Amino acid sequence: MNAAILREISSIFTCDFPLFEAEVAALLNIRKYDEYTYLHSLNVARLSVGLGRRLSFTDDMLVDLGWAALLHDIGKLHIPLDILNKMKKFSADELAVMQSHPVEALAALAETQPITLDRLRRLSAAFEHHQRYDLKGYPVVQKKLTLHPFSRIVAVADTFDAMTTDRIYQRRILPDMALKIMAQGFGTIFDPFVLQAFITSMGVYPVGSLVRLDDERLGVVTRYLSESQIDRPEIVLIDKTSSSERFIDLSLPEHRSRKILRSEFPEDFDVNVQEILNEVRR
Amino acid sequence: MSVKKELPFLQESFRSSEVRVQLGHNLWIDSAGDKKDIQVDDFPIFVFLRAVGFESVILKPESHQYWDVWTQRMAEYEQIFIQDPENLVIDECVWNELDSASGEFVIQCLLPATHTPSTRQSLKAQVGLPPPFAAPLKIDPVALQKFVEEVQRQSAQETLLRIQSILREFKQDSRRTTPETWSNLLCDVLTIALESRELEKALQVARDHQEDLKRIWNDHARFLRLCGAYDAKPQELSDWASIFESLENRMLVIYLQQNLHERAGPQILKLMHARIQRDPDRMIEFCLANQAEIQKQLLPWMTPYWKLKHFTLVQSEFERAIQRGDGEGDLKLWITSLLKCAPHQALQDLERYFQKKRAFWKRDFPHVQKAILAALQEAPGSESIAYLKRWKLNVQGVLADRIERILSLYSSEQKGGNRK
Repeated sequence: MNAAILREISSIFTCDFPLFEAEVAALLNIRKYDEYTYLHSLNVARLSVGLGRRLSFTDDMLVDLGWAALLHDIGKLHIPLDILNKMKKFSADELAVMQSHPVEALAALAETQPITLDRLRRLSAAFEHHQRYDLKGYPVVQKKLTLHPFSRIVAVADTFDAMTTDRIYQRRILPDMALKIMAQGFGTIFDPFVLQAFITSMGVYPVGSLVRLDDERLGVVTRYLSESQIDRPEIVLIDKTSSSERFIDLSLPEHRSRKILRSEFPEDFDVNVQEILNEVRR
Repeated sequence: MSVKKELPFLQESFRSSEVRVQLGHNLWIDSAGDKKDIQVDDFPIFVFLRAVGFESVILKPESHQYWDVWTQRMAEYEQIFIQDPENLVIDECVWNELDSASGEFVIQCLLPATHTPSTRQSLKAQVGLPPPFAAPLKIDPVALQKFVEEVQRQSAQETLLRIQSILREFKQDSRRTTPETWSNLLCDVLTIALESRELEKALQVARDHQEDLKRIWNDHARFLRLCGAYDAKPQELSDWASIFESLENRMLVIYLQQNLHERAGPQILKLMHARIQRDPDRMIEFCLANQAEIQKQLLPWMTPYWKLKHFTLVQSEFERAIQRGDGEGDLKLWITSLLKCAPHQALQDLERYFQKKRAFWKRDFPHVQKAILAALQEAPGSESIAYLKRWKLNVQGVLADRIERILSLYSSEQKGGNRK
């Protein structure tokens, strides 16, 4: 089994890899076929399993959820690369091909042997993650079934990662904006419970966000205290010279009147967020 | 829903020449340069526009005529974007609204001055790690418990119900899958359903896809796994056997010949039994029309189903078996069948093998005689006993002893029966 892939998976969840040889092979196929889809699958798994941990899923549930998320786009193995990586608007035919990837997950599954009940269960997310909570998505099905809980988690994680990832033809959306837009799909596109859990446990301005305060200063979100509101994090200021205060905790009463104006792209201001966070943690 | 009344800057734009909404600064600026605060987050369309990179939106006085059309289009883009972020190419959307009379923009979405249009670059995307879940989880504990229980409750039945639905949908769009892959998948799903003791689900899948299963029956490993996956109770036998509806009799006989020692052996026997029970005439027809190898396998199964109408055909096959030089055991099977079809006529016909040889060139049939005796020994009746007594007069040695044994056994059984 590919050591690099095993390392990546191990950083997300723990599982007995010999039992998942076929799944690892499928993930390797995804990586060979399209690197973006592979990296995206890893991120969707990170987000899904991360949320699962916050929801106190057992280890077995996390493993199941993790694999469901890792292979949610397995059907893209059957989508031609020129469509998969197209930078312009899809034609009607191309869109139909692209939107067939949930159905193509079955064909991909058939190549994953032996097929077991557990593998069938994990396939649900691959088939259902674009169906929408109100079942008005695709593939269109005659018999409407309640989506599998994992599908509902993966749908949220999938959309969030897709929005917040740079593409060659399009800049990413900042996380807080992504969450605000996704909130428009509350109860229609997304399971309201899952979306609420996702947003509240990440915070409106997730840790690592570069934000601009109402006094125009820039800061990086470092943490949320246990009693914080989801849009009132602690921030470390970038510009240390203009004020004695380095940290501003918006959840504290003395900062009640302060607010975050908006988030910013770190690269627009030459800010290395990870360096700042590492320094704070030291 | 029209939000015109809730948009003071929109109303302002009807009066002044132009209003600019600064999306990133929560401001709107009128043509006189006066700034006023707004909460952009309160307007989903502006949140969306800001998210996809627009810096400001300019509204001209005529925009009120186009407001509904424009907001509807923006709402559609937003829905596409939420459902499938990859499917919305920003550069290919129509963000602005033109006045049909003047040909000028009445609603204009502006990108930052530093915006770089899309270019064809290397296909390697820059993908970073997602943010952590580091904020307090603020959800109803009862709802959380309910959700976790829902995950734990996902039974085999639920999974199979989903897969059944998926297979139905996939069937309509299976043009990109080879028939072989499709059949393999169906068989595997069926097997899992049976291994999970979900017979009803398996039946539904088999009913929906019976034609496609035909390809599977030549796949020995898959067939054996499927066949051995479920030990049907007597009342389930007929239903369970219907899963294998499209399996040809010829293949079933081959499995019977070659695989009885496997784990699926008992189920193969059950399948044969169910098939014969369901349509004995068809199986008889198949048996009689087939080669000796297959006939040998099937004859023992046919015993309860022979009828008078089959007599002539069975007799022909019996004669053929003698000419082939088949062994005693095989001949016994035919004789048993003859006796079952028409006992009286069979005994009359079989008598010729026990007639005294009138000429030296007439053939002896010692193995046929032995086979006849073996068949009669299994189920002697008063009529066959009468024939045996006659035949004994025409034979000697081992054959005579054997007939004597049959007669004695029958006699003692009769006496024992009378005593009772």
